[in-house]
This record gives sequence, structure tokens and C-alpha cells, in this order.
Amino acid sequence: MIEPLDFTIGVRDFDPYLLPEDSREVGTEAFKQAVVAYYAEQFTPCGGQAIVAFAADAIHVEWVPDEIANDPLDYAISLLSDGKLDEGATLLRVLHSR
Amino acid sequence: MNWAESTTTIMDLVEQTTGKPISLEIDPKLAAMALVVMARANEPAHRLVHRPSAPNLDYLVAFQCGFVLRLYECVSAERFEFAASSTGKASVRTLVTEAGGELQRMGLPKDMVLQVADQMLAGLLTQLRSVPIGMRIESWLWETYPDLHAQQKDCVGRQLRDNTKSLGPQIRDMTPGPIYSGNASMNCAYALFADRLFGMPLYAVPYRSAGFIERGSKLLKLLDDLPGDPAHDRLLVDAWGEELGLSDWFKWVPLDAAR
Repeated sequence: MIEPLDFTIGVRDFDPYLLPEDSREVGTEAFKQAVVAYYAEQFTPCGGQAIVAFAADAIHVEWVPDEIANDPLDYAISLLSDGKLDEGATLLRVLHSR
Repeated sequence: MNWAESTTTIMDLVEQTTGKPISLEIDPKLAAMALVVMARANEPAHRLVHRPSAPNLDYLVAFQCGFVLRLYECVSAERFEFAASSTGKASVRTLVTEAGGELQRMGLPKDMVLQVADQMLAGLLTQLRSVPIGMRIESWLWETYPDLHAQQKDCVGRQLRDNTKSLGPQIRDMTPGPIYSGNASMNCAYALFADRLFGMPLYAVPYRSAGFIERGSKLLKLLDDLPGDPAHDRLLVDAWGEELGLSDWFKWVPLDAAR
């Protein structure tokens, strides 16, 4: 199984030209929806699921493969059980903020 | 240690090519999982140091041996090591101590800030030296030693997942622009390379969204366009350095004068 991939980028570091012209204003609902759609499309060839969460100044993205996509909460808990507290807590935060 | 057949073959190849044996050492406190310290003219052996329970150790050792082999496949007059130039040190120190920088705001003592500057430069140059040549080694291992594929995929994946951490806004805020950009561009090139090698467009996604895909693609094209033999490794690193605007931050030092 390919391991999940997670990353965070500054909300102003996201390349706005990747989004439709009417969705480029940072912080708007249209921007958030376009970013979510962008990552979903980017990860489509890999299968799985892209989970995107927004903080005040950052975008957090977690891609999980098909094996985990059906129950990401269970996976987050398994990370915590394995002592991977940082990864587990990050995923829980992302799932909670959706 | 029971090494995989491929790893044994590669270690034998190192000993035959260089005329020096490999001395194995276990170090639980090693920062990396494994590394090879190449023998100098007055040293009897290459030191292969690894952590006692490093995952993917066969692949890691094979990868490290790849650097030794590529260096020794060059004629002795063409064996060089890489070092920071005085211009590079001065440039990064200036960047780090510029007014308004995050490190300034943190109120760190000046000597500590300069130490951070030197570490940032050393890290960036290690990356510049090891990533493009490392990709040559990755290709060679992938094509030649299929029994290492599982370890290679796992190890490269770990590295790439780790690399994405440095895209975060906190790192960006405390890192001078040219260093942040150079690091992310090289990580992007490596991600594009791995996506191509493994046939899955996964690891380059973060860099595409953060605007590094154009520079990363240029670096990968330089790798593709230059001949892949070890005699062109220095040229490859020079080409990446030029693309990243780092040409005067480093210099090449003949191997046995390097330490």
C-alpha cells in the first residue's frame, strides 16, 4: 500500500492561476471550493481521496489511498495507537474541519 | 547482517572499482539511516555506517555505494568534492541577517543567526550535490536491481513525504527566499522524477499547487538532456546550480584535497 501524503502550504502560496478566474480571491468561499476541486482533480489518477482543510493562513491537504479512504477516522485512530501522534492528530483536525 | 544479493553485488563492485574494502560500522546515534564515508588516499577503507535497525537498509547501502561508484568511475583527475564558496557563505549570511527577517524577529543572538545561515547553506548545497546525482543512481538501481524495488519505493516515498514538510508557511517565513525556492524547486524535480519512475503522479502535486512546477520541470529536463555517465555529474550539478542562481555559492575541490 502507498502511504498517505500530507502537506501544508500557505494560503497565499497557492498558485491562483491554477484556479478559475472568478475563484482566485483568497479567503472567499469560491476560492476554497476551487482549491478543494483542484486537489480532487490532481489526485484522481492516484485513486484514493483528497481531504482539504483551511486554516487562517494555510491550506492543509491529506491524500489517502483507497485502502484508507473508506474510513479515514479509523486510520487516524490507528496512527495515534501506533504512537504517530503528530500525523494522527493532524488528520483528525483535518477531518474535523471539513 | 544478511545483505540482499544485489547489495552484496554492489558492495563487491565498490571494492573492485576503488581497490579498497568496505568497513561496516553500526552507530545507533547516526543522524542518517546509513552513509558511506569514502576512503581518502591515506585511508585503508570506505566506512559504511548504519543504524542498527534502519528500514530498507539494503537499498540505502546500495544507494550510498552508488555515489562511490560514480565518483570512482571518473578518471582520478576528474574526482571532485563540493564545498561552499566564500561568496556563498557571505550571501546567505547577508540574506539571513537582513532587516525584517523572521530570524531577526525571533531575537536570536547574532552568532547563532550566523550559525543558522551556515547550516542553511550547507543543507542547500548538500541537496544540490546529492539530488541530481542521486537521481542517476535511483535510475540505475531501478533498472538493474528489481529485487530492491520494494525497498526503493518505500524509501523514496518516505523521503518525498518528508520533503513536503518544508513547503509549510512556518518554514517559508523563516527561510530566505532563494534558499526556500532552491530547496522547493529541487524537491519538486525529485518528486517529478519519482512520479515518472513509479508511474503515479502523486508526489509532485504539492509543488504544482505551490508554483514550483516550472522550475522543477526545468531541472528535470536538464537531467534528461545531459548524458547520464558519471563524467557528466559535475556538469549536471553546475547546470542545476545555474538554473537556481547558485553558481557562485559553491566550488569544486579535488577529492583528496577536500579534507
